[in-house]
Amino acid sequence: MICLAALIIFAILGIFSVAYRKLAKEAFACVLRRMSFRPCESRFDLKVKTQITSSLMKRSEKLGQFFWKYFEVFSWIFVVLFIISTLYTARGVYNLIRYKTCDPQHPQNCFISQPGASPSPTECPIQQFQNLK
Amino acid sequence: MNFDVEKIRQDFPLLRKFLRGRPYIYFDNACMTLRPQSVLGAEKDYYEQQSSCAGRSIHKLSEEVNHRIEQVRKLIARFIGARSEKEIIFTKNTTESLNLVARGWPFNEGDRIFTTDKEHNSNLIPWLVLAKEKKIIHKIIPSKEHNLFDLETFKELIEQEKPRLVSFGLTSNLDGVTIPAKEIIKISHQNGAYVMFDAAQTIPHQKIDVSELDVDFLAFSGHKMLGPTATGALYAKKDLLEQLQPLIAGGGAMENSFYNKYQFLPPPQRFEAGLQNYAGIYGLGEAIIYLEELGFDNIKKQELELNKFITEALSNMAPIKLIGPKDPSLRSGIISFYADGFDSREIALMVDQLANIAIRSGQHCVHSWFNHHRLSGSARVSLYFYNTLEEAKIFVETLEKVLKLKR
Repeated sequence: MICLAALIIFAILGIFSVAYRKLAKEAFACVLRRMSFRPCESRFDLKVKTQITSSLMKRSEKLGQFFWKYFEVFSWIFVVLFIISTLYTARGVYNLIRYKTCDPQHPQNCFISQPGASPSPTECPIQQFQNLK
Repeated sequence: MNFDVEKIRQDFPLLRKFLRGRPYIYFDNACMTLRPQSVLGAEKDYYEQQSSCAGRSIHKLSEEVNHRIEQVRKLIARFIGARSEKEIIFTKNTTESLNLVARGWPFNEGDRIFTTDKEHNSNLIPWLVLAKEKKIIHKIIPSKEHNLFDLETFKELIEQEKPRLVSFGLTSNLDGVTIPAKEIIKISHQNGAYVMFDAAQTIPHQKIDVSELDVDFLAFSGHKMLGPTATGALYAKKDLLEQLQPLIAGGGAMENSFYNKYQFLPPPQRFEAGLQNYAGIYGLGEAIIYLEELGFDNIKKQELELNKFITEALSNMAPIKLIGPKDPSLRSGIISFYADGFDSREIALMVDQLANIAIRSGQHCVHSWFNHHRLSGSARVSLYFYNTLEEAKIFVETLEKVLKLKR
């Protein structure tokens, strides 16, 4: 499922550079096929797998072997971590827009908090709920 | 030319190229060979010095191009032992040459055509299409053990079926096996069948004499014999050319035309409608000169040495299965193999990433054979005279590393 992460990354990069759009398209075609349990036609996943494996093998053959053997596991871990970090980032951006800080509970922890940012009990849904209890 | 492989390699620009500090190792010659400087120079020469139409205008430049093109035609005729240059038609590749016969020959419903069971799509699909369109009957001659040609079965079937045409790959692009041409032609003619050979994989590697063989049609490509892409030729006996219809019609192929009638030029020009790939033809001429100077004995010797080395090494690698006979002398410069637990594309990508080695992977346009044998594909190493033992050693070492990935 490396194609899924690749799709998101290349799609974002493709906004800024034409060079990544072709890769994004390839990754997209790959994702569609993998969703229906078919192998990629372009073998995009294979290209990513062999590229990373060969880079690792140039440093350590055992590391390359390990990566090759557990490539699917690594792919899923990478995709899950990617999705989780994307969700956290999205939450941070939402808070920044809504509360002028990415962490309304502790605005001092957020280095991009804007002046005047503070947790407002009436505005923070979590705090409001706790007060009601 | 003395056969000094290191000196010869200097003639090929790609072999001097490096990527990430490593040279390229080109083992995909069955797809396309590299080109020496003389071929590249001849193409450039056309565009810089002449750059005109042949056979149309009357000015000096046009006459020079015309003369040079006809010189190359004579060169090809001499190279393959044809009786006359009028038996040589310029095409853009073997595929076009084979289709020219498939489409241009006056086949009738019920005519039988034989091919082998491991034909390149270019010598299979035209017949399948014709079977659909013109209701010809297409029969496959199965190979015997180790993919070798089964002459006995062929003899039995041809006596029963009496085909109109036998169209075989002379050397297989799948496994490098060359079929017994003389015997096949003799048996075919005895049974009233014409013979066409797809010689794309043969012409670059061994001497062919079409007059001695008495073959009726022979097709080959320039890009597999040091020549430029979009070059090739069809050889056909003179009397057969008279019966063949052109694949396309238009300028350069006509004697005269009116609003309601037309007259073709005599062969071979009638089959060469439209402006030809003059630069490519110049290059093809130089490719032939290069090969003649090199000598086929030298080419075969170098290929066999490398093939032996790689075959022996692969035979000692447990997951590897060779396609075709184990004897490398029966496989030209080709080694096709697959490995248990590996997709052939994984192997090709890994050797490319690790050591800049270019090999082919997949079904090599012989999908029919792989489908019949229920194999997804193979990796194919195809060697040529500019490859070295050092390159073969690097390939073997790299392949060993790749195979360790699944241990």
